[in-house]
Amino acid sequence: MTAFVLYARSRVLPATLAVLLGAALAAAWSAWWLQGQPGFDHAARVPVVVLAPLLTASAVGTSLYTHSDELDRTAVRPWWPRRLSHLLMLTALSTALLALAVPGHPDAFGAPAMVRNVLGATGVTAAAAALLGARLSWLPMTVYTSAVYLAAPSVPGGHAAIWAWTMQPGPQRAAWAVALAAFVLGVGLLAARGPRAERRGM
Amino acid sequence: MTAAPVLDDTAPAPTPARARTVRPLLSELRRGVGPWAGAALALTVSIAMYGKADYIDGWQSRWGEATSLLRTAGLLLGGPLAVAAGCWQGGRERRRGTGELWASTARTPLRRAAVAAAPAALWPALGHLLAATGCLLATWPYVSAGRPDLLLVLADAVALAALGTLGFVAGRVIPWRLTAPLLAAATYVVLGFPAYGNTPWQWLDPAMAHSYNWDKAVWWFAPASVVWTGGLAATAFLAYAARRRTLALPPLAAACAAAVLIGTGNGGQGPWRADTAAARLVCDDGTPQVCVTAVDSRLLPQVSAALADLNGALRGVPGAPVRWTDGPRPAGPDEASLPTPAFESLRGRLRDPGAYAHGAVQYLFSDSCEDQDYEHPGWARASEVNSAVIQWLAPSAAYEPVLTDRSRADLARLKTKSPAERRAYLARYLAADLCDAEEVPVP
Repeated sequence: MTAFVLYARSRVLPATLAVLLGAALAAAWSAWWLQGQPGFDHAARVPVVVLAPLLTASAVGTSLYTHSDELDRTAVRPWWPRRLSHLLMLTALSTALLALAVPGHPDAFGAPAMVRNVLGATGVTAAAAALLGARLSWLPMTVYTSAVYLAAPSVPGGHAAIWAWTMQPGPQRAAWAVALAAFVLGVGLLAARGPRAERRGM
Repeated sequence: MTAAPVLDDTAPAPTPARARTVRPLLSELRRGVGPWAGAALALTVSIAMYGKADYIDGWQSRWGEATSLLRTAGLLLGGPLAVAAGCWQGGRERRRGTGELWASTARTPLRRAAVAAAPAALWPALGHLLAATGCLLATWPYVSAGRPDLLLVLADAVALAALGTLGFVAGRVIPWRLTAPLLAAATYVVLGFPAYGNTPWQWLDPAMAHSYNWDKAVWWFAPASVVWTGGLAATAFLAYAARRRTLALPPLAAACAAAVLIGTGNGGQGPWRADTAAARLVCDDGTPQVCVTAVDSRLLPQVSAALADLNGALRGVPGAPVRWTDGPRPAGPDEASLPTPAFESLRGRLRDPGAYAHGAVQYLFSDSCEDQDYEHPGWARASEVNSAVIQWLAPSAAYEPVLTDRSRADLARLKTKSPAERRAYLARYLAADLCDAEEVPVP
């Protein structure tokens, strides 16, 4: 087997790819169903735009777990290019899949908001993997999403564009700035340090 | 050389059995994911409630609004967290590789599992109760009447404990890293989905929000909810951990019975009934009289003050309402409906008394017109007159910019009339059929 196949199997990448695809299909169906309900329109896609990136980021984060952390660190070649490629490829794939799941209305909760949330959620999750460990990397973004979901004001913009960036419509620049900063910092931290060493297990 | 131990007959007899029974549970409760889950849930609910405190009418005006939002925040946002934390707790022995060590102890699998599951069940419930206590204390100074339905709050806490237990069982059964976040997302979908329907069975969803309408839960709703959610969790837990799996059948039967009661009880109308004490009218002694419901009685002096000028203009005019009323009962023939004060207030204060009075006049002159009435060639002119009259009786700065030039001219003419002319015009206006454009009198 090639090194790539071995790496992919050790990081459960086939299962991760299946989750990304499943999440995109579920998001597309949910978005279509929600905006078709009586009395609802495209703005009803907010739960999809918030939850689907959380799910794909969780899948990407847990895929960073390694069963042989100490052995990996003895390797001659540097690991950061692999970690960076791993993160960027999965992020690009989930971004593309989820952007297709919410067609139309880019000024509200369409593809731009989805792309922003995928980038931000993946960044936060990658940072959590570096600091907490890959197995629990989904936790901070899950807690954050729960906390801001109801608390975010219905009117976009203002300070909420920063502290509730996941709940903003697509064009909000401050929300984009927060999400991009989270992505750059999280991916950079993960690439540089790798996921925090954990005890053996599932 | 060490000294041989000396037996002291006078020393109190040790109680090792009790110590062994209690300590593992306390250790489990103090350590691990439990306290963090409780803290995260309390924080999540508190942030959500704080964020909604200034939203439109807030939730601090009525106990019913506070407990309803607590339910949504606690279950819809806290439920996925409880499930994920329980799932993480359930997978602990597998991650640590201590499953065989635990299995070698003298305790039964059921007791071992119960001790391990205790933090997953108890801490989310405690976190919710802590946040709920804070929110209810923050509501107390501003409510007018009634008391909170604490049984419903407790039922919500039991539902969170049940979700934590279900997550624990899933974590024990499914050896996959993504189980916890996937279950959290699935929990959100399962709890949020029934909100889009309209059937009494949707009250099986513990996160279902209730829109307060001078009503309260039937007495059996909270106990039935506890049996429903607790029974489901007990079924899953016993089916997983008990040596005899038939033990899971009684809680399953109880959960099914509670589900049937919730779905079909109260004549299939859902578990809510009218609250006559909350809807009782509390009135001032003015003319026209101003009446609000008991649940908003604290706001009555401010409502009376907001309507004072308007009532001064209407007093003694033929056709004017005898009293303003609010509540679930439709207004009588000599009455006019008021905007519900709780919807226009925040923490015991009317947000904008002028806007409130303006809304009251709009209610007073609102008629259920037919579609063809709006197509009458004179309807645009009649609308301009209506706007001018409303702005004359209850001026609103927010409404001023939308007036047309002809409306402004009508308003100017109304303001220049003598008091007797104004009363005569108002009497003609009140007597007119406002859906008939030709009947609306131009000032």
